[in-house]
Amino acid sequence: MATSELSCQVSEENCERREAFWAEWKDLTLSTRPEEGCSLHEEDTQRHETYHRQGQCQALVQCSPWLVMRMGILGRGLQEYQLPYQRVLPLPIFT
Amino acid sequence: MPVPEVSWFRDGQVISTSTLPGVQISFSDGRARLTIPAVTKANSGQYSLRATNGSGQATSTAELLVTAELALNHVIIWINVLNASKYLGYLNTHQSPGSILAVIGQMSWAQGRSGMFGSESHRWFWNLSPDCLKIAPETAPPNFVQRLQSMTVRQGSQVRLQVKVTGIPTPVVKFYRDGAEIQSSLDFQISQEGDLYSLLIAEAYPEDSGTYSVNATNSVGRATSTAELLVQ
Repeated sequence: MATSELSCQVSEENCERREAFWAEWKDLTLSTRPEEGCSLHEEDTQRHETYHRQGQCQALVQCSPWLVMRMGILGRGLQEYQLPYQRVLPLPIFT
Repeated sequence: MPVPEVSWFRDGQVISTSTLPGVQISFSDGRARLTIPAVTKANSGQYSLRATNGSGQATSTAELLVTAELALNHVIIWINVLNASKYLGYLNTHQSPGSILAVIGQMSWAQGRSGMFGSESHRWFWNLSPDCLKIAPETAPPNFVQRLQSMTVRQGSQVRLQVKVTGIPTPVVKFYRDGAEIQSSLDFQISQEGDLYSLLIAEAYPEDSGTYSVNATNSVGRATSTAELLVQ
């Protein structure tokens, strides 16, 4: 399965102040999850109906120098996190 | 109806406490929950929940992907099967802050929420959709909140070159003069206080003049700030 990685570069030069700045980072990773990982199968034996669905989905993870992280499934919206993520331990996972 | 019997599978094999030590499985009010108290890379796989009753069966499969060999506190997959096994035909997703809710068909549904978990030293984000689970480490490339600044000083004075660097994991920060790394010594003292890094030149001489740079590197990126020091 193909994984795409996008990186970012910033290059600045302040000639007047004789200062320079340069940065490079892995910004975005898009990975394809196999179809079997995203499937649904149902059978209604009384009505003789079955349903099966499977499809690839793309997981997206993005990080940035400004301490913001975004992730989610492509096409279904992203969740944004301000880092470092603050939550008191022990963590309630489903609340 | 009647309430279905539910069973969990991993890669097609029935899950029990002998095949998956520490696993907690519960099913009440139509809510089936599988908890792995501390996941490792070996727990990655296809997890399925099968709900069966007299009129049929329904299976929902999700992938658990653990991307590093780390003990994590909890991973929970939960799927509501109260009204499963009826009519299907469309997938609809709704979004609300911090959660993803998917309505599959008319009567069965699955819900997942985004969030974060981890140990004291590592934090992990998870994002659960009804059929896809993704876990990634909390990372941020190095950033210079405060960059190096060029300066002109008199011979014999004390000079402090200072930067403020953020990043997760904590970046490795190194000082250079004209491209050569500076080793901390009594005359060129490098110190760190939180995210503040400084190079203290006890007594500056004209030969200390030059281009100073600071490089910050971690697993997701690197950054360099450069400035000039002129000692008159």
